[in-house]
Amino acid sequence: MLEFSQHCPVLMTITLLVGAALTPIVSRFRKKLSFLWAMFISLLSFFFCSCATWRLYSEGPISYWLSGWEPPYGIEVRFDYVSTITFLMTGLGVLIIFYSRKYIEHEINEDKFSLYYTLVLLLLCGMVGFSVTGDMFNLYVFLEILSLSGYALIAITEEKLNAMASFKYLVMGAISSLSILAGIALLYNVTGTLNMADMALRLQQFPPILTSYVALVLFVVGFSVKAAMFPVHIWLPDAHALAPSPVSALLSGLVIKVGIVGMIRILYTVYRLGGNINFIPVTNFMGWLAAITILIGAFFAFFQDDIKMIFAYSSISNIGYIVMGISLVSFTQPEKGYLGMVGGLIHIFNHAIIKSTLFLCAGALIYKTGFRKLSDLRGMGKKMPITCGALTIASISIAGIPPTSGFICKWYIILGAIEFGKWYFAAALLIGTLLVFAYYIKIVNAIFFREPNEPITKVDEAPMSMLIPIVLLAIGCLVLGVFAYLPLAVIRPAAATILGLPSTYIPGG
Amino acid sequence: MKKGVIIFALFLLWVLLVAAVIALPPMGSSETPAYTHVVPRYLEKEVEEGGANNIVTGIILNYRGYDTMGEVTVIFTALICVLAVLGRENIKRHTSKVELSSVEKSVIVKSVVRLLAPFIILFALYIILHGAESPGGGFQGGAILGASVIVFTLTFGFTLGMKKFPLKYRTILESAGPLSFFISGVVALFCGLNFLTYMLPCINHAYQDLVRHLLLLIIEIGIGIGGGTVIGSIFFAMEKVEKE
Repeated sequence: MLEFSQHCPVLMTITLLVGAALTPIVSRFRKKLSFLWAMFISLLSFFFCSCATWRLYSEGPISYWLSGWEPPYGIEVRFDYVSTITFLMTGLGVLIIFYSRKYIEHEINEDKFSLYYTLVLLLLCGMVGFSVTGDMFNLYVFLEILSLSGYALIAITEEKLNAMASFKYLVMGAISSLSILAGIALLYNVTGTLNMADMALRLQQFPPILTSYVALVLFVVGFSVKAAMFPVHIWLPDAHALAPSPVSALLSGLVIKVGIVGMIRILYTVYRLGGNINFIPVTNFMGWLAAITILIGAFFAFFQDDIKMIFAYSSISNIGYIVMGISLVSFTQPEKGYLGMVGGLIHIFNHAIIKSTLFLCAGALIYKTGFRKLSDLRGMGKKMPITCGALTIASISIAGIPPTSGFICKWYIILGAIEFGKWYFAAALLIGTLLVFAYYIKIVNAIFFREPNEPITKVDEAPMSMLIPIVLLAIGCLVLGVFAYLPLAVIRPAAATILGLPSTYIPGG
Repeated sequence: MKKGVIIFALFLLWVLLVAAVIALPPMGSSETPAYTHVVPRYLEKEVEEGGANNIVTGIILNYRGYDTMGEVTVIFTALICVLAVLGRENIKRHTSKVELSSVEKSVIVKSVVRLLAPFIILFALYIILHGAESPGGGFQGGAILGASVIVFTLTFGFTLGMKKFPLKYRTILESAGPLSFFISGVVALFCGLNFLTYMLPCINHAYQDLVRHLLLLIIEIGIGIGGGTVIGSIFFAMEKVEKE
């Protein structure tokens, strides 16, 4: 078992990759098979990921040498505490593929079904590969796989607006990929290696030169675009709102988090706290941008009528929380950044689950009624009680009301901000939360308590294949809030190792 | 105004990047980190460790084989993206620009293409198979293979082009790149080695070299065939007549 589990970090990526390459071939035999095949592949990958996670918590991080070459000569795949996000990615992937079976009949042309599943598998493959790699160029390769498949998944519906949104995303994404690639090239020339851990060591050995700082800026800019931070968030609302709903759930729940994972890897694995390159000005600046991102996202969400547009703007706002959490660090006293880091990391997990629930619920509403405007969806609560119930739970969670999962992350981030005496960050966060609360109340009010414009007929509950993922995710929102120690147990070692503390670190202990 | 701001921002970026490049360790100096850390081992030991006389091939297929597997998947992804946006070509309602054009393709063009096509394909195969020994390899050979498909179709029209390269084979061959990597990489797992190790310690030691060459060859052919087919398929998908 141990022998086998050591291969898991690479097997879960390879499974998705080969599964995607085989999907067009499989669907040639029978059209219907592509769904079953995608389910099978994602479940297999989820199984491998579970094995790897199990091994991580029993044996410690796994370092896997591709082709058997020791780093820095070959490529190292490193499954560490940050990589546990892949557990979420593959798990959500399974649910979203399951949900897609019925939904895509509604938005996608029938002969593109197999292409859709291929792209979803490729997207998952890119994200998983990105999160487990320990090599800079490998990071870029998987970033390309996931970005390309993301662009195509938005445009797959053949609507004119989708093509525009996808193109906007493509242009912004290409700039960010280019800037990341330039950063990698510069750092390679400074250090002569591509392995992240080795690069970190060699950056400490040489006196810092201007090139390292420029590379850092390029990385931060590149990953900020992928994560949709404030001045470069403009691609997100259209792309996430117009994509087919399961794709929106993937993009909003997971793909933008990839930018955050990238930032964590670059800042805290390669440049490192306490090394000889002080990047605190950069994180401070990111903190300010994050505060603006929170307010801007929440503010614009307030004025939307399209239900998916609200969620898309709210994603921007939530990325702000996460970045604020991970940017609250101190260069010389790593313990000080612990609370903010825990908050930011938990929010990565919670937001992924909450936002997927919201988008899948929105998808179910759109699938059944064909409406996406809040004013048209009035009174749906009585017709589709389960979907709307899940929507309400997720709305309460994202507003951060105590028994649900959204509370704990905001609490930790506020504590982190106070730890640094940045009360204005805490204030921005609270104002953002109030705005969020207001517009989610608006949604709940519209679907449950407002009279419909015209009597609704012929609308009933969404089909089973859509309800199961929605209900499971809604339960997830509640469970992760009530039993908050569960995610905390997973996140604590991650936050501690990111800051360079021992993985068993407990503040004050 | 808007233009001015953009030009100013780009200028700043340019200054920053130039400054970064100037600050780099000197190019060509023997103390530059890029030449002293990982690279010497590649240069000195690749031929015996990696199993390819062409060092570049040894690096991309062996030391950094996982990256190349990802790159091949990027090519495959690009094809799927094109198909997702444009859709597959439809042979029934297809009338291409080439066939519609009133000017008949000249006999010279047709004869030359007909004469050259076998040689182009032969050259592509040579480049693919010889990648381990000399400059070249799957990617380059695949591009030539794809070009031969395009040249043929442009000259003889779509109907014939699609008949020569039928969809049912292309769907399978398009995935050849990632799949050949998987097949060559996964055999090592059964002998307890890491993924993409081109060795089989559980069989007779004398055959190791042969096994390694064979597996690398499978990958080269897979990349070549896969790459060529992807180029051809993208070309077929793009060549659509505008709706009137």
